[in-house]
Amino acid sequence: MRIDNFAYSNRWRNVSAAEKGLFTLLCLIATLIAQSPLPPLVVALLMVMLTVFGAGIPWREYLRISAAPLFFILWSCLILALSFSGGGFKLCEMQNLGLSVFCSRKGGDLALLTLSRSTGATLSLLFLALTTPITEITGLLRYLGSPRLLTELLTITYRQIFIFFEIAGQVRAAQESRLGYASSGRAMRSLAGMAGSVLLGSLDRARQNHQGLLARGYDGDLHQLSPRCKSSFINLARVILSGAVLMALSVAIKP
Amino acid sequence: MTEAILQLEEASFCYPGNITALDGLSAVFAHNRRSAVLGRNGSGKTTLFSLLNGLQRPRQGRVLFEGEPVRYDRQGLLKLRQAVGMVFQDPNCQLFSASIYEDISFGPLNLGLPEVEVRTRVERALWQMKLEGMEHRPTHSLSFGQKKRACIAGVLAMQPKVLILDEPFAGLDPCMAAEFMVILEELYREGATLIIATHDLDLAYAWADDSVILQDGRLLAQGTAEDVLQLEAVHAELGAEPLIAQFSRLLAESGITGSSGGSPPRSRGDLQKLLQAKKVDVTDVSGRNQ
Repeated sequence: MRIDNFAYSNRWRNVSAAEKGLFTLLCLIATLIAQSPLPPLVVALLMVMLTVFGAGIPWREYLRISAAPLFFILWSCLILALSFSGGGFKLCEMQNLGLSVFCSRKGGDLALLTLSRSTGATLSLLFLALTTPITEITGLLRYLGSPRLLTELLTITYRQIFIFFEIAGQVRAAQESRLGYASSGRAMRSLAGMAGSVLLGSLDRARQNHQGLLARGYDGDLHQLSPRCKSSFINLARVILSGAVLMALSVAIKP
Repeated sequence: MTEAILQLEEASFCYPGNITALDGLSAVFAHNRRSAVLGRNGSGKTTLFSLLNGLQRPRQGRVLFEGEPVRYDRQGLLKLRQAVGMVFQDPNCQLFSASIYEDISFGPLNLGLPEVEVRTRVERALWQMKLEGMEHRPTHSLSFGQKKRACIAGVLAMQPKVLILDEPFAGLDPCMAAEFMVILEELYREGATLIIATHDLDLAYAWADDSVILQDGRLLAQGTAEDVLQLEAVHAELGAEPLIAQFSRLLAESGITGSSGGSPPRSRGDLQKLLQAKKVDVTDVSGRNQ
């Protein structure tokens, strides 16, 4: 939800989605083709700079949003650095299990490369998510000819999330005002009741939504047109140039 | 009465579980008139509207559009839904996209129009509904009134001949409702046929040309709003009488205004003019400025 708010209110809101999307894509490619951890880390640093100083996302919020995925990446890469089959130096031994844990140079390098690549890629995607509203991203995907099913699902899911929150919020308020959450037992019961009513409500709403679409000539495809966005030639040139430099860096730097 | 644009002939409709919603209903909606459909909750207003838009098919009887029975194949329905636009009571039912621009473009694109034409129509609809500059805001950040206007814009972009609105004023504050009224008047003057469902008797009496009163899925009365809304059977069914009608009747009965030859006042403004013409000393009956 916080990401969504920033997507609509950041400084780069009016920069065309195509430019931001292309830049993200080029950076993603650069991180994924890199053979050494350095280029992805450069991309990651660049993304932090652009998101915080360029788009003006407050750094505390940025840290909070990026902490969860980065923590996951770090954790999984730690596991990657370890091995149970030998090689490198022995870290510890679990005698009763008959297992030894090793850390090898090769495993460490692999973990470092994975860590930097995933960090670069995650921060690139986060840049896009924080600066570009979903509707513009789906518009871009539609323009690029991605499968209808995907863009239609994105469109509807995104809209329905907010309707779901609205309804769930109303039900919760109604329950709370009648002391539905006064004790933990009552809270469980209320929550179950809410789940039931929201489910039934969703089914009814789906029917109504379908009627709403039919009334405007729905024929099985959600045809829609995004607002025109102006791409500036200079921006595009900048994007392509910087993307190309990053990719060249990835190719050039060997481990 | 001018020629009928939409007509129901002995139409019946049941919901699953044999719940009768409409029972042999015949009603006529005339071209370029403002009609108000009134009835108590569950009297069949919404079902009537879904028949008019082809969302439901009558079990018995038929629906006629411009004198021809509605065809329920793909082409027939597309033609009907282009000509008869429907605005739902709950905007969340209608707005499927988080971008109102995309949402408004949905209808015209379904008509198979070229992109340039669709964009022109979307922009015009945004302008008509005073939503310019809001097309970049997400739907969930709009107010109820704005969402409602976005719904109407989505229908207007299809350029329908008939606009059906289910409780268009429900949930709107008086200022918003008044603004909305002006928009409806503009559409009416441009030649649209307007059909609204409402519980607001005073509004129906002041605004509508024609009125259809439903009672348990059957027609109770149909005719000009002026006549129908003064019928006692209608007052008994709806549980109220238009305030202005009641007031002017009392004034006439008590001899203050007398029985004037012209049509009875239908709005506060009308009543005030009548009283002034009769030289009754009232500074302001409406309680607010004209």
